[in-house]
Parts: sequence; C-alpha cells; structure tokens
Amino acid sequence: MTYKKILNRVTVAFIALLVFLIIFSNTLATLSAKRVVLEFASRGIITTVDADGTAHTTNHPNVIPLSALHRDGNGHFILYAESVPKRFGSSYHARILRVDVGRRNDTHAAVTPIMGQDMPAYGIITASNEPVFSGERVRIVE
Amino acid sequence: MMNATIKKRLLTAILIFFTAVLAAGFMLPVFITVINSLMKGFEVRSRFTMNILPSNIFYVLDVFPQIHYVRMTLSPDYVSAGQYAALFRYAEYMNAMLNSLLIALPAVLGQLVISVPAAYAFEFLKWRNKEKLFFAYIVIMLMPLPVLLVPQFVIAGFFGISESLPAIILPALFAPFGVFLLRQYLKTLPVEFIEAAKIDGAGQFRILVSIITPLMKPAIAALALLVFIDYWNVVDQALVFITDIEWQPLSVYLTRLTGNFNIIFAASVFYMIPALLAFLHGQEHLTAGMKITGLK
Repeated sequence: MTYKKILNRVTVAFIALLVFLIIFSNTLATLSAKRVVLEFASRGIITTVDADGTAHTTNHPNVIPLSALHRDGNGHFILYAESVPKRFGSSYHARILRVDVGRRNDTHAAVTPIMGQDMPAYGIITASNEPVFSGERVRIVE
Repeated sequence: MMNATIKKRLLTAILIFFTAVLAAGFMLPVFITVINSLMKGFEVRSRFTMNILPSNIFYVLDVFPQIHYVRMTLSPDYVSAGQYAALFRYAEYMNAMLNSLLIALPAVLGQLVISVPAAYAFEFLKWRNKEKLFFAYIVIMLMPLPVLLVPQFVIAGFFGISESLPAIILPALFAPFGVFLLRQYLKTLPVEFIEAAKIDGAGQFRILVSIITPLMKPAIAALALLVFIDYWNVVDQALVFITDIEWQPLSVYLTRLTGNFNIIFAASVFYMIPALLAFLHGQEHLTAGMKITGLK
C-alpha cells in the first residue's frame, strides 16, 4: 500500500472518529457521569418536639429531605442539578446553593436561600453514587 | 580536485548534522507530548508538579534527581490509553473542536472563493487604479494583527456579530494574503493561455473557471493549507470576539485544561492531528507553491 493510500485511509478514519465524537461525546459524557437522585423542594409541614414535650408545627415553602442538606466551613448548602442546553442535546450540572436552615425533624428540614436568592427551579440532589462537587456533570437516575 | 570533493562532503555532513540537531530540537516537545499522552493521569501529576521555570530547568533533565520539580521522560512507567478514553467523553472539548472546525473550514473555503477571482482580476484584467489598490492590499497584509483587531471589533459590533463565529470568519474571507499569494503565482503563467482562450471565444468567467483555476491548483492547495493552519490555531481574534466558553475554539479552550492532568496531553495530541493531516496532504503543493511564488 502506498504512502498516499495509507494517508487517505488514516484521514478518513480520523474524520469518522471526529464526527462520531462531536455528535456523541455529550451522550458518552452523560453515561460516565456521577449518578444522582433528585427531589424537588416543596411546601410542607415540619413538626418538631422540644425536650419538654411541646410540639411545634411549621408550614414552610421550602422543605427538603435531610439527605440533600450538606455542611462545610461556610455553613449549610444544597446541590441542585441545573439543565444546560448543548448543541447536541442537553446536560445536567451540579450547582451549589447556600441556605439557612430553619426547623428540622428526623427526615426533613426547612431551608431558605441566603442573600434573598430564589430556590432553584431544578431538582435538588438527595443521593449520589459518588461525592458530587459543584460544576460537575451528573446523570439523573430515577 | 580530491580536496574539493572531501571539502564538499564534509560541509554536507556538517549541514546534515546541524539540521538533524535543529529538527530534533523542534520535534522534542511533540515527542514529549505524545509520550506523556500515553501516561496515566497520576503519573502525569507526579511528574509535572510545577511549571518549568528558568530556576528549575536544570532539574528537568534529572541532573539533580534528589531535588526535582518536573521529571520528563521518554518512557512512561505504565503505558495507558486512559487519557484518550477520558478525552473522548469530554463533551466540552469536542464542542471546542467543532468550533475550531466551524471557523477553519469556512475561512478556507471562503478565502479561496474570493481570492481566486480577485487575484485573476488583479493580474489579467485592465482597470483603473489596479496597482494602487494592490499596494493597499500589501500595506494591510503587512500590518500587525492587533492593529486590525480594533477596527474589526468595531465593525463586528456595528453588524451585531461580535460574540459569534462570523466575527472571526468574515474578516478571514477578505484577508489580502490569499490574493497576494495567488497573484504571485499567476505572474508565472504565460499570457498566451488567456489570449488563446479569448480567440476561441471564451469569456472572462469561462477563462477563470476552465483554464486559470486548474492551472492554479498548487497555489490554491498551498493557500488552503496555510489558511487552515492559521485559523486552526487562531487565538487573538477568538480571545477578542468570543467570551462565551460554549463558542470558544480549541486553540483558546485548550488553556482551560492546563490543570486537568487526566487529559491534557491527549487533548494536545488530538488537537495537533487535523493540522498534521492537512499538512501531510498538502506538503507537496505547499513546497511547489512556495518555489513558484517565491514565498518563504
């Protein structure tokens, strides 16, 4: 096989690979992303009981599961999965939102975004197969 | 006589030696990049813990292995295709690759479509102030790019195309270099071709398409190659016009991967391949075109 023929074949193979990757890299990236479970914040009633047995009931607009609540040196935060439109489909990326925690019970907590921000319209990450960091691409599982 | 032959051979040997050393010097970064692309991410991280600086350049070659910052090697501890596997799943990289193609290919095609008839008109048609305009072309060609960027930025803003790829592509279509290169080539063609075609009743368009363009193939191929490589490596215009990461070409996006040891070298190698293939396809034409046009 001559040099020219080999070069032509290599070029064709590279172009085919490039086209495949450009079209499907978004899908490949999503398939290999960390898997997360989402839940939406909802209005709910939190009932807490003091040490003296007094029950307190709060009706709060943003109640989330405790598994969605995290804490670091700067306070509490939640992670949500933001949908980012791409040329070939869309992808979900984890984003951080700092929150103040109000009343909480064994399973849920009432949260308020700090600095007057709104609660995200996206699902909040409640579980993941690996630790998720802000900005990372995630794959949503049911 | 004998002395002269020995002298000539010695001179040739010395020239070959220096050329080989020079070539090796130029190729070394490419070799190192390719070899490092076959390392695992953790090995790359362990070898490149700091930037190469004049203060630690001597440690690069393991002269003082007890104190090292960067440890380059031509043989990885473990050969792995892991960087490429990770790269192929890196959608943002492929998006940037697509942006680069969307800039380079239209720039090449557009510049050819405009430069070929323009060069023909400058060389073979008679019209007023032709040479003055061509002089203006040369002056613009000799201007440094940063000087041209400001008016280009203003014009792109006026047409509302800044922050988009056409802001880079449109000025590329009308770049004077292509016209200059092709006109230099046309100067080498005998005028008899044109006269014979005119006698046969061919119009200007027919002469351009059927006679001149096929004869210009080496120069067109050389121009296509030079423009492709130029716009594949575009940085200045991309930095000025495109701030949205989603639309940045790979030449600019690559700098964002500097700290990503899991893919950085594979990303660099993959970035080189299109330009390399373009060069391998067009190198004969490039050298032929350079010889004829007298460009170096």
